[in-house]
Amino acid sequence: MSSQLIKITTSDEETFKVERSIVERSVLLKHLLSDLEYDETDEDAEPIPLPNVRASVFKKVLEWAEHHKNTNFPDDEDEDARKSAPIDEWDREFLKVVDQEMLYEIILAANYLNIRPLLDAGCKTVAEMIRGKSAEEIRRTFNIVNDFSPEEEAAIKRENEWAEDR
Amino acid sequence: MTDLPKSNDLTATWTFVEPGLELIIGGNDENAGVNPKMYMNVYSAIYNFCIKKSSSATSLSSNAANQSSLLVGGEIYKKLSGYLISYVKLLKKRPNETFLEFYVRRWTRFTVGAGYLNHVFDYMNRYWIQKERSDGRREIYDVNTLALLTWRDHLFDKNIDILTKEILEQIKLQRDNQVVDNRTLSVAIRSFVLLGIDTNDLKKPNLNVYIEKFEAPFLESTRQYYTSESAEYLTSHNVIDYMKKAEQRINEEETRETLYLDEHSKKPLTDCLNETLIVNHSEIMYKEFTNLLDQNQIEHIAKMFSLFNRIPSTLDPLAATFSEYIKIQGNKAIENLKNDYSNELNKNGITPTSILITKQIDPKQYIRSLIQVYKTFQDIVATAFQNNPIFVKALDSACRDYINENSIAKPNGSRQNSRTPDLLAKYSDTLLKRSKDADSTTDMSVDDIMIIFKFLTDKDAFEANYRRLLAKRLIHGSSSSEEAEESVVQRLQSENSLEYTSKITRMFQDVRASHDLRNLFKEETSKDLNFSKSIVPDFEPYILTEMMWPFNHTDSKFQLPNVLTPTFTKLQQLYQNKHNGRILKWQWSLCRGDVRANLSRPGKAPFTFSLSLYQMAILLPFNESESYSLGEIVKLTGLELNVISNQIAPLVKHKVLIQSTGSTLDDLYTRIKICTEYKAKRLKINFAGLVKNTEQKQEQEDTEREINDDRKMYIKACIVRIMKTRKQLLHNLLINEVIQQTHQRFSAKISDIKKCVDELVEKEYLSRNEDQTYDYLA
Amino acid sequence: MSLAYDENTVLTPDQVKALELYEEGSTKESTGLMSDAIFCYSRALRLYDNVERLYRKKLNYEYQKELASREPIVTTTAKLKNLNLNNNDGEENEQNTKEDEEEFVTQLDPCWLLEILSDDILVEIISILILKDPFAHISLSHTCKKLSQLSFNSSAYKQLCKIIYPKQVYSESALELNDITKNQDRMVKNWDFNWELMLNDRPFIKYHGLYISKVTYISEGARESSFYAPVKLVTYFRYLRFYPDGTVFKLTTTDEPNQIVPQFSRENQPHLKNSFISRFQLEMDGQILIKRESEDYNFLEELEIVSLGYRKFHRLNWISSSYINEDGEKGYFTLKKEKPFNFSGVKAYHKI
Repeated sequence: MSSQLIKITTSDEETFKVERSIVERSVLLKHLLSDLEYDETDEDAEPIPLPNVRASVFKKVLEWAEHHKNTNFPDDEDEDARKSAPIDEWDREFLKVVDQEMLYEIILAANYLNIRPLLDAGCKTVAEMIRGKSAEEIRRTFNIVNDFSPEEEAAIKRENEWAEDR
Repeated sequence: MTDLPKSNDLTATWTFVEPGLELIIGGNDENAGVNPKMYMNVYSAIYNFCIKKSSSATSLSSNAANQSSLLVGGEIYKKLSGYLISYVKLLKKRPNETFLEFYVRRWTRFTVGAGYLNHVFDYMNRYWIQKERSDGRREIYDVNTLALLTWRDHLFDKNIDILTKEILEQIKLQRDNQVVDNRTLSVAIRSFVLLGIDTNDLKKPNLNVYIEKFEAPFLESTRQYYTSESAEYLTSHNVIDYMKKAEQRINEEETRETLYLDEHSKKPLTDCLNETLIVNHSEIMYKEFTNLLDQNQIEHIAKMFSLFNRIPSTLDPLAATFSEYIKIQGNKAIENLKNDYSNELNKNGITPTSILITKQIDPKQYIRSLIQVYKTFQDIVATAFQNNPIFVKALDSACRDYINENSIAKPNGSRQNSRTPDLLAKYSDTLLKRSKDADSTTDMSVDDIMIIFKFLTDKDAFEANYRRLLAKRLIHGSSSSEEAEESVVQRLQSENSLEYTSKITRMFQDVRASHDLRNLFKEETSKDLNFSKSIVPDFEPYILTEMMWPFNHTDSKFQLPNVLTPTFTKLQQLYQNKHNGRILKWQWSLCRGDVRANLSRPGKAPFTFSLSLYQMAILLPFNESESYSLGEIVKLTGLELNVISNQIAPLVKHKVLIQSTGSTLDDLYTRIKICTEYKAKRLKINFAGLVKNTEQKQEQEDTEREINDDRKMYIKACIVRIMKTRKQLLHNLLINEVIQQTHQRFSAKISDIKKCVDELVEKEYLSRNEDQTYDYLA
Repeated sequence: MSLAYDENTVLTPDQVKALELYEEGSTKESTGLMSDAIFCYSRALRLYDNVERLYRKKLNYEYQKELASREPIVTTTAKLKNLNLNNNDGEENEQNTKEDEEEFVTQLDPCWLLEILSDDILVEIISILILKDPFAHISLSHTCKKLSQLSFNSSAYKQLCKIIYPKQVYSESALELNDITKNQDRMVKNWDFNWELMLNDRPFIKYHGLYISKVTYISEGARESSFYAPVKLVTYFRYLRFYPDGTVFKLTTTDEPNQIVPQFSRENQPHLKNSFISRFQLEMDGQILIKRESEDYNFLEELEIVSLGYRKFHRLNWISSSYINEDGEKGYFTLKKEKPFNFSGVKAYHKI
């Protein structure tokens, strides 16, 4: 009993056929399907376009969603709990192997498609990359240009120092 | 793929997005649908606009940062807000539909559309709107709420009155039995609830608008409708039909409530209906109630009860009427009984006076009449009033009244003591006594005794009378079953208190102790064969504790017949050995025995006479001689003449003893002869039971006195007990306390209490102060 | 009228001299010759009162020059490319320039983080850092202007408030009078929904470190009118460490902070002489009450939280120190020698 697949077209005009249950991981798409009473068994059903997502990124997103097909993600009422929960091991590995550019594209796509758990995993991954580093090290890791003048930099350091202690 | 507009171009973005909104929210062409492409395009355009990288990223000041964020989301928000307003304002009703139909049609589509919009603008909701609200700009709302508020401000508020008016018109039509679309009403009314948005707490539903703008007019129109309908109906229909109609209307309104009104209206609607349909017409229904009772229309009474039960306060007058009715019926039943009796007496040529009737009335019939009335109304309380406590109480108080205060119980008016306890005691006696007539105890039961007992106000009177009769049964062995006796006592105990039945319990103990004594006596006397011959066989002594048994002791000069002396002596001896120091006072008048009378014709078996001791003492001398004069008998027995006359009267009547002709039994010189060849139908004759009870009147007076004395004692004990704890108390408070404490046993008269207080003051247990208080004197 | 500074600026002789003196004073200061330094500064100021400004500008200019020569940034690649094109030297240079180019090319890599991710997502990441690693959060805020702005926007302040204030321990009267609740959304209404304002205005106690007061006084030896009077310098420290459950650990000792800090926790109280565990309460205006009951006395110390410039609520000033004996009589200890407490953060105390 295989459910019909939903056609999704990315911004670079590549089409994917995806199971409904996986599609619904994206809250955006879930709402679309129910609001429009989308019937994938209808032959004339239009494919769903994703103007903001490229195929390469979407492939990755699908890979993630496929792996987590049966995962039960906890209710996200408590923001702090969600944010401080550790990254799922598989997610960590999954995001480790992509380059920075792709990582950010995935995060952006997760945000666009409203896939909360993937967004969280991505953000936590980036946070891990920042932790334990000095400002200079952070700049080097991410290629951030220091646009402070020395006085501005010193001033900023003074201004924000207190927040370490709280 | 259509090109999305540049993300930093507001106008382009909006122009791109707007047509989609039209379809999403429902334009005039309702059949056009939204396709995925358009949905995603709109979503993406909004998304792009919201996250566009601010080209002014170099400015550091937080003010500017706030402003730029305001710019990012705020412009779209403003556009959207404006769009919604103009959309709502342009909605127009079609010429062939009512405002209500137009409203419901548009509202239904709008709420669905608002939901879609909320999804399409999800990105803005998630980030920008949430942030704005958290930063205190509470006038920014999520898209769904924004839509609802727009509807409220630009369509709903302006048209509330006409909307309400049309809804109420529909409801009125439905009440007049027209068919009406419930779903339309439900949706329209629900919108009042949904639009009562509380901007301070968006999650909580707010019923203010609903209550003020819909519920209030609704209740008013309901009130008017039913006030006029019920009044009109009653002019052309009777109360019973009215009650049916009221019930029907109430059910109808309750259905209406679940179909399309909000939960909140349930109570006000119920109150309104109760008031217009029931309370306003309660007087008429109360009047009808008595008729229904007369006609025993249980079903209609039940219906009336179920109507009034909706407003508990209306039950009180009904219960009061009910109580009065029962009292009257109770008293009537007793009156009827009295009249029947009176007729009987008339037939027998006796003038019936109240007192006479009371003395002679058959306890069984009396109690049965009382019980019948009780049972009839208890039934009504159970079936029609579902054992509602108010009505149970009404029944109880009515019963307490007529059972104690009817014309047989108090023939001389209400100042005396009620005779019901006495009659109940007699009833119990009849039930518990062994009798030859098997029918005598039909329709009698211990349950019935307990029913009446519960309602007695003078329970102590019952105890005294019951004890008196019990004593006789115990002594004479006339109880039908020991278990029955004990079960009655147990029930009295549990109904009242252990203390209440203490004397009776003691009496049973005495009887048991006496049995043990009898066995001991038998043992002792059978040791010596010779001696045992001189002892009365089957001797049953009863040792009674003086205070517990209702017998008075009078010293008499009675001479115990010689033949009985050994037994007498032996028992005294035995008892003194066991209980040194106790004094035995012999109650000769109560003693009985069986005597074998060889008075029959030769060849026939001898008779056995059951005789009282006195009768025995009178007859035994006839062993020596055939005739005596009464004066001689006086000397021989030591008894008074009147006693002797009384005792031998049945013997004379039944021709065992023959009185010389022309003589009377109160003449000392009258000679009595014994019949030598006695003929009788039965071999065993009980003469003891035939002795007229001259003491009956005395007994009753004694019992009365005993009761009154006991009461005084009890009151005094109460007073002392109360004063000991309180040390000082006001006169009135003391009286009240005493009444409360004595309530279980009898209803104390205030004059009696006052007398007791005075006596205690005299005896210096209390001292009276000037300010109406008393002090306890240790 | 501000002075620009570059190689072409013309200065008056006085200004030049003043600048020289100032530079000299700066050198002296950095080597510890304080009085000499002050001497130079005062002379410089007398010559030209805005000398300090001038000095700064010079420093800045020099720094910029240094920077320009040291780190070739993206915006200057164009310049360098031009340089290369204009350079018509031989192959040697080509070789060099190729290397340079490669070097430049690698350094041309864009910052994907900031280019791809939207601000909303960056704020989300920062929020995770605020929760789990305050040091990383601060470091991030130093990296560039944009991240600095995002790291301390209103969402960040809101999050900080929600972390800091629920842990504060208020007195009962403060709770009632001010309607204090752990719900910061309600509290922030008093500051007009401005989280930053609340954080700046509403004092709080820091738990991830200790407050140290260093008292130094001179106990004099035999006084003679010579320049070198023998004096005894007495230094002792008072340490305070607060806990979110309302207890505070106090210690007075001559031991230096680096000895004390590793073992300074209330679990060690039995091992540390002269240490006490007391209870504290905070008032809305920043006053702290520390109470301790011994057998015969009740001790009460009052301190006040104040900020030192950018260091928010960094310092605790003494207000009073008193006791109440069994008979209810109150007495005060003198605060003459006492010094305020300054906060010193300890990374190890950051156990969440």
